[in-house]
Amino acid sequence: MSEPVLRCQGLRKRFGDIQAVNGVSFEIAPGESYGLLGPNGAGKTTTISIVAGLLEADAGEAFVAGERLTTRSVAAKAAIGFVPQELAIYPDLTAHENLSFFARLYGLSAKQARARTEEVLEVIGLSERADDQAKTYSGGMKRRLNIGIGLLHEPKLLILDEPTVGVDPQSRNAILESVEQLGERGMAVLYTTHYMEEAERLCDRVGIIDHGELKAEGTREELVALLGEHDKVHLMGTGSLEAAANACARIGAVDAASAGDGSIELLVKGASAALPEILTTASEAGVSVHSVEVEAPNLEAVFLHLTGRALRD
Amino acid sequence: MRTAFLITAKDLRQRVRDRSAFLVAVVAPLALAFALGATISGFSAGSSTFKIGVIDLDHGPAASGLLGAAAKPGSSLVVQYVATPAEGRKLVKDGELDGAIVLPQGLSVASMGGPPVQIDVVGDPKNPIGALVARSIAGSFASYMRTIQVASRALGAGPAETIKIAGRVTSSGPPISTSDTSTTKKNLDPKTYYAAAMAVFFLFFAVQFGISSLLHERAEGTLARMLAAPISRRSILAGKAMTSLVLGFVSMTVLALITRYALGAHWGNPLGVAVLIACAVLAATAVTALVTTLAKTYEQANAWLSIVSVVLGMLGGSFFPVAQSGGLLALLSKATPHAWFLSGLQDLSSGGALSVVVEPAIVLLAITVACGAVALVRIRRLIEP
Repeated sequence: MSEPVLRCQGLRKRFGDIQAVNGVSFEIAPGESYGLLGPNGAGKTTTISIVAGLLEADAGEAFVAGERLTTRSVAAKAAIGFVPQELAIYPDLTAHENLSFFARLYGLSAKQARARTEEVLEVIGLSERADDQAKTYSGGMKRRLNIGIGLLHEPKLLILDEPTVGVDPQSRNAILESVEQLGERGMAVLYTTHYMEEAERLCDRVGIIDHGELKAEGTREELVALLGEHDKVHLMGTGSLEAAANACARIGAVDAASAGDGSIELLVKGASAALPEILTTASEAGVSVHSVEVEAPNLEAVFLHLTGRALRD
Repeated sequence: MRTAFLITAKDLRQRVRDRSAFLVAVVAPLALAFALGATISGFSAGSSTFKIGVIDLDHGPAASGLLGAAAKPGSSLVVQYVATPAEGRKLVKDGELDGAIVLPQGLSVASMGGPPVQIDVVGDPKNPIGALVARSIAGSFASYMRTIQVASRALGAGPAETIKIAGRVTSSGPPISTSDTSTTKKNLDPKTYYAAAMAVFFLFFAVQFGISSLLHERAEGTLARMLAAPISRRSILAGKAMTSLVLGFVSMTVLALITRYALGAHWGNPLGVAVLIACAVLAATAVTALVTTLAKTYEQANAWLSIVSVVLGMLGGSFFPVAQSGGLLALLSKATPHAWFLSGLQDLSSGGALSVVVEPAIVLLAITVACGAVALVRIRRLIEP
């Protein structure tokens, strides 16, 4: 790996009694897309906040483009483009004014800011509405403007904190395509999400985070390989799902089981052989099974394997 | 500083677009200054000359004393003869007269030692000041009659000599005169007072758009975005403070100019006014910053700032000259920027030299330093994501 754009070593952050981030270390190479995958409250946003220079870590350190990152480090921050989870735009300013303001804030001259604003407006598809106030935009347009602000100064590292939360499917797809293009243009991307399919689609490597700890990281294939011969089994049914999941977890072939949303998810070694025993156990536990699905392992299964709970929990 | 200017420019652009800032900083104070100034000055103008009716049922020499007093040059009284008490009551009721005095039959005789009589005063409850003036005139007239009676008895004068004594008392001036050089002359005319009072009252609302918007930006996520940029936190604070200062200066200056040229307010020496405005804006910004640092949310800050602004405005004399009431209220009034600003302006407007603004300016700057220092210590918590 070449000199990393981002290097985090043993990051820790505590809020009162809660250890939000506990010894997180990872690196991102130039042009690489790295995903932090974990459920809500896993520590993704706190990690992102430290890496964006918003929060000071209690321990550990981070380097961006070789510069040590703190809340006061100007050089390191200049290499970062930050796209927060919420729509951090000024609704009573136009897209043009929003972009120009942040471009100047990132140190671009008036001339550079004008040029980059036009380019970014083109990239995010808002050129025709550039002079309308942002409050008149659709949710998807606001999301695109939110991302566009992070691209203005052509950062070496773009940090996107769950940019598709609350976005309609069409806009979500547009955002994912934009992020894919950024990766192709050589920009390193740190992407947090709790959607497994986004991490699988966008990220060269994924770090699985839960309870503030990085449980594992690697490419999709490397992470799935952690499961060995395991398959992911979905039991859809009604009844005592929680009790059935606990009962199934005691079966030797079952590595992990989690109940929720009218189904039980199981990580099973040799699913075809173990399925009769699983169905019997579920039935005895009071669950009426309507259908069964056996899937090839994916990142969700890896998360279940590593944490004992589903991503949705 | 470049970053601070960028933030200020962005904030001002938002405020220009958001018409509420214009309403708070210019329209509302101007409307209230006009309404209050017009009401009070209308009242003052109307009451500067009182029209009092005299119903002379005596037809003797005594009534000339009353008429003589009223006819003096510079008197604020206009005396109108009315034929009967019934007509007097009607004219008072219709508002044609502010009050009426009924001089009873036998008044002249009574002044020369005859049986006592009673002077009746006619007033309208809707015009209590007019009734008070009529009663006061009647009281003064009774004292005047008593003076003549005492003089007449002391000299053992008969009726003819008593009339001469009355003539001499009427024509000679009072042995003691009073003049108010402390309060009356220092008082601003109503238009100027309420123009200045409303300007400084709404100043505290206008400057809120700067510092307290930090909490709004934090809630909206744009503060996090600024904090992620390669700029110092100090420059964000400086930008917000400058927004408050610019809005305050513009608001006060525009109001001073409009009320000067459109309402006829007399603010006094422009340089002195500029010094007072500058110091008041600094003090208002510091007080606002302090209150903002005590709040946890933008909504909470807005509520607290509104309460503080209204309380300080009331105590500081923006609506009533509280300082003249004396006691604890007057003492509390001295702790408000409003009172010092208005006091400085009163001295300046009454023709005082530029030096009269030194004391209020120093107090306003002391308030700025005291509140600003505490705010600076506490404000770090505002510039966190």
